[in-house]
Amino acid sequence: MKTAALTFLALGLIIAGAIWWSHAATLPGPVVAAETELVKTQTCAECHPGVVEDFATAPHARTLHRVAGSEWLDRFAGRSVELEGRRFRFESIGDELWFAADDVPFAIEVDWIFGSGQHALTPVSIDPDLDGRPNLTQLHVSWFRDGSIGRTPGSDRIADGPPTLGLHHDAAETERCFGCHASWLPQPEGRMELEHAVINLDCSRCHPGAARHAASDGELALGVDWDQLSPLESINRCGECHRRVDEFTPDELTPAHTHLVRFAPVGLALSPCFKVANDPEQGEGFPRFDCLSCHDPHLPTRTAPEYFNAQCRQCHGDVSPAAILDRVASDSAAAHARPLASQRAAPCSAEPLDSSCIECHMPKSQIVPGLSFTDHWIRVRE
Amino acid sequence: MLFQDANRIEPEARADGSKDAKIQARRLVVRHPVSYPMAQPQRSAKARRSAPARASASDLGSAANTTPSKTQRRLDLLGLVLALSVAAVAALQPICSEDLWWQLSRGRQVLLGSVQPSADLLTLETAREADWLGGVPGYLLYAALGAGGLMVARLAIVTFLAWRWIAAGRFEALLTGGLALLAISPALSPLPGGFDVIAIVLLMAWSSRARSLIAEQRSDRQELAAAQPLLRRHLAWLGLLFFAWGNLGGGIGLGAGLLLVTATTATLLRQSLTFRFGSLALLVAGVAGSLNPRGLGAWSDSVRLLFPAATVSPAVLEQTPWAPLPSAAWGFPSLALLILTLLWLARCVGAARLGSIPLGAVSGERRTRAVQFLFVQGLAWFSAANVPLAIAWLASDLVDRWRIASEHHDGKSSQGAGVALATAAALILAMFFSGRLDSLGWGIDARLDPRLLEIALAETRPAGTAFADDVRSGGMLAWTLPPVSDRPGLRLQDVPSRALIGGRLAEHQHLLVDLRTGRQTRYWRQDRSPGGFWLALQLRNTSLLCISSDRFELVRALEPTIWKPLSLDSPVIPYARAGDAAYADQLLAVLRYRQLVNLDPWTYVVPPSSGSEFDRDLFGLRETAVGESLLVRQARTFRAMELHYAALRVLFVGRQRWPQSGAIEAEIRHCQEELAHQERRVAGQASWLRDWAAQSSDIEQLEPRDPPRLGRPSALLAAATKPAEPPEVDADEQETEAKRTLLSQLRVYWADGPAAALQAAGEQAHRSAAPPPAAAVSPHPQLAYAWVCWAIESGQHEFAQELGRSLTARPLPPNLRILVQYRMEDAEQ
Repeated sequence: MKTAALTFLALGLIIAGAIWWSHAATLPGPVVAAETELVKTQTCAECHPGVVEDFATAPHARTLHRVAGSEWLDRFAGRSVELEGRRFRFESIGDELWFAADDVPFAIEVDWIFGSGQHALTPVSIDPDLDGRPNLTQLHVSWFRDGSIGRTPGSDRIADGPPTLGLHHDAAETERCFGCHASWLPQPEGRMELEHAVINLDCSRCHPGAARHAASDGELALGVDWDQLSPLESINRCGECHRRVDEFTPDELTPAHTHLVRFAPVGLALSPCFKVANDPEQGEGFPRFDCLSCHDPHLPTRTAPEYFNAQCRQCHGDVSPAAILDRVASDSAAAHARPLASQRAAPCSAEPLDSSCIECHMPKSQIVPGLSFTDHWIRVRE
Repeated sequence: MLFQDANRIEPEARADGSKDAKIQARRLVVRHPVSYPMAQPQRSAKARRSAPARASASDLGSAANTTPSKTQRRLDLLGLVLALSVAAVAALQPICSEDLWWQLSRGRQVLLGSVQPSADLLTLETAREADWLGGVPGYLLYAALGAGGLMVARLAIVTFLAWRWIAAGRFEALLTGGLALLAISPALSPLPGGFDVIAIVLLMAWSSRARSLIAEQRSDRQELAAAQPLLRRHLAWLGLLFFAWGNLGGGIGLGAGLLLVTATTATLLRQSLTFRFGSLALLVAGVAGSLNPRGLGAWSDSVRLLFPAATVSPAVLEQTPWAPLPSAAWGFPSLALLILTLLWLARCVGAARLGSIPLGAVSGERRTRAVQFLFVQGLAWFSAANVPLAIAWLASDLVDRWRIASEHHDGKSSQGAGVALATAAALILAMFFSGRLDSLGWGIDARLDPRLLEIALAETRPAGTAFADDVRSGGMLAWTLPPVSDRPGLRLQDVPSRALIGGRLAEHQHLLVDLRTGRQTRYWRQDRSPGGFWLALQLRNTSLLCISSDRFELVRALEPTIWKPLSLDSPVIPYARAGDAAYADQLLAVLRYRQLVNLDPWTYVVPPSSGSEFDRDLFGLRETAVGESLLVRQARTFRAMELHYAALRVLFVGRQRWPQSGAIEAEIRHCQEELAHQERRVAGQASWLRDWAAQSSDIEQLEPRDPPRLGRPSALLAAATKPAEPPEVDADEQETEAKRTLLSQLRVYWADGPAAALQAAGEQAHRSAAPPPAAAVSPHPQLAYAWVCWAIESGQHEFAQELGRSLTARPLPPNLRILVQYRMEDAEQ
């Protein structure tokens, strides 16, 4: 009897253990969905006040907006535009913004606005699918930096087929859209829940492990050490949202595909500058070249061309001995990082050295009227 | 009769008085379990020893006393019928092992000269495997005799198990063995899973015999010395068992675990003889189980397979065959495990009605069995894949106990009519509840039919590698492709079982999750690993995906990607990248098929039974080869591919065949829901037809409502910014009448499909010879729109266009105008 009782008890423990163990863990999901990865920016400010203060002004910190009570309402409310014979209009009712078209019998509410306004603001509407997951409709009309409203990139052939108000995205695509514009997207039971999302990028979005780093008073290192990434790894990290070159087919990576200008890491990865500068053999002596060479993501985007031209001249500068000596004398710290041998990239054969490099080699390219991007595919153009 | 044989021997042994004779007698009893009829009372050995004179006094008298009564004969007959029925039902099941083709592919590769078939077949596999011969018997049988060969092997396995379990001479054993056979029936194939079950049963028989030998030798050291050759021979059999087991199956860790338990408990109980023998047995098993290409690694591989919890997190195991039992899908096998567990516990408690006896003459036997019981329970509860093995152990152990009870009890066994009838009722219920009666058949289950996959790949020039979601998909592909040789060609990347052993299962599962959730581009996970299926597939040089058609979410998730199906109806759907020249012809062909099944005049026909090895019906006696579940699966696949009309065509045909099927009705409603959702999204409001059809198939319960709107009507939006105006008047007499009419036509639609509904609409609209299109000028727009939809669903495109044109020529509500535009696009394709 004793054996039976012990056996029964042990079996109960086994079953209880199996039940407990089977619910013990879940598959690791995206960092953006993990609350454990979330860190309050003010926590980072305790040790990094300067960076945090700067970042508040950066575009990444204001890349997604709830419409209700948004400062951006007046960019849209009461405005209309005609595209391909179809007239679209925005109307505000209280603090709600609605979007309609003359040939569509219904209007949909604008729920979110994507973008920092640096280039554009694109309104979207959310409605649930049959499983209750949010599906996004990217509206056909966006606001652009020059103050105009016009066709949203991707909304081609608006007049073809039955009239629509925007491009519909399923749940997976919706998650991807929000994933690049938010720091935390709660997903209870695998379903994205936008009401409690932490919108815009904060420290943890690009510095995974920031929560543990902050909680340990800096003892635990961040999950990603950007200094230790190779240039390609570095631009591919930015490429998680700004797209990566290895996620395109070779057929798509041609200048004819003008939409590539939207994806800076893609263009940069195709640039001879990037390839040579970061090549293990050919690149010896060249400074590291990646997104961070010209952009500080914690700061507002620079706009002065001369700043960028100066970056170009680090490699494509004057190669005369006097110029080299002058440079060494005036910038000894930089000289350590830039051996004399680096001054061997070809200077421009068409224009003088003090001309604007980017005007020819990184021109702005218009995607749709009102919206232009700098083409990061640095190359000699025909 | 065997029982009488033992009785005849016993008196001689008693007369002789020698222990050798007694040993011989007991051996006969052990080796020849009493089979039906068996209801004769059995006297205990003590009783027999105490009454030798009586037994030898008068054979005639003895013979007269042992004549079974009429009731007993009936019980014997009942037992025999039940035994044969259960065995037949368990045996006559089509081969449905998910890894059938994988194992046959491995067997084929071995016979081509390979000693590492998995490494040859898989690009991600580099290690050798222990059970490298596991696919050889199955392949030889299939190559020689086709599916019939596999079924004959299956019959042999079931017969063996029935003999071991059911023929033990008691209704309790019949119940135990019958439940076990029905529960593990799917695993009883000439494949590694089946070999594991056989090996467990043989090991239990060996252990039982070993216990008897040790018990006999315990008291006499002289006899121990004399019995050494017998013990050595017994150990040799064990070695042979583990040698075969190690090369054919992956469960040797379980066998070694049971031996280890025996040796350990013997140590703790200071049973030196048992400990010595048990240790020797363990050593022999260890050596024999290592005699395969994997060597000592065979043991770690077996532990990984049997106890994946040791190396893999439960989240990775979810939705795999190795998921812990609490989170796995429960069915009859799990229920049978619970029942047998309860039976075992009751036996352990030693209820008098079950005839409990001290287990054997070896003290501590009960504890050893208890620990072994906990060991197999642990394996089963932490990995559902071990349930068949646990059931095999439980059944063998219980039957062994019943058998010992039969030997020792003297007329106190509960073999009365009550037990017999209860057993019969339980087994009949089990046969129904297990679903085995519905799945009776011969050959190979239709879910394992590779022919459509072969057709899909016939015109392609595959190269690179292929990702398969599970072992069924991977195995089917491996079998379809030519045997791997030096010629480069398409190769399979991995299968989950090898991935589990090789530590790659987490990566496999992550990739599946990314495919299922549509996460294409690179992202970072919480564990710092990179996600996104685009790059993962690219790095593996993937040119083909093989996805089980049961994975509805995965099929749907692939729909908007560049991965396009090469088949619409294969149980395993191959996908290739759009634009890949190697698959271009088939991709184009499938595009045409999509058009055909969804929009062209195409009628689904339930495949008739043809007696092929995949439609279960050996003699072509059944009406159809495809059952209700397969029809619903095809419809779901179409729905996942956004081919809603095709899905409805399949379902309405199925509804004619199985009018009471709840699964078919539910699937029709799912199609209607999705079509209604589509309409609402594009036009702001669904049509009456789709909204109502999505609500319910029971017209009486249906609410003929105005469908809910998306957003706000533009007119009202404009009105919101102006002073309020009087509300519009809606729903007049005509609308009410139109709703009533549509409801009646919807009833026909549900019952007989769109063509019949259209016919009924035509008859309703005018009882004259006027053609329906003329009537479309006057009916309510919602009604006319329903006709357009039905015309498209039934492939009558010209009629649909005609109706549509007449509709658009009249004033329409804005949402209907947009919907008609959408439908006209469908009709014009």
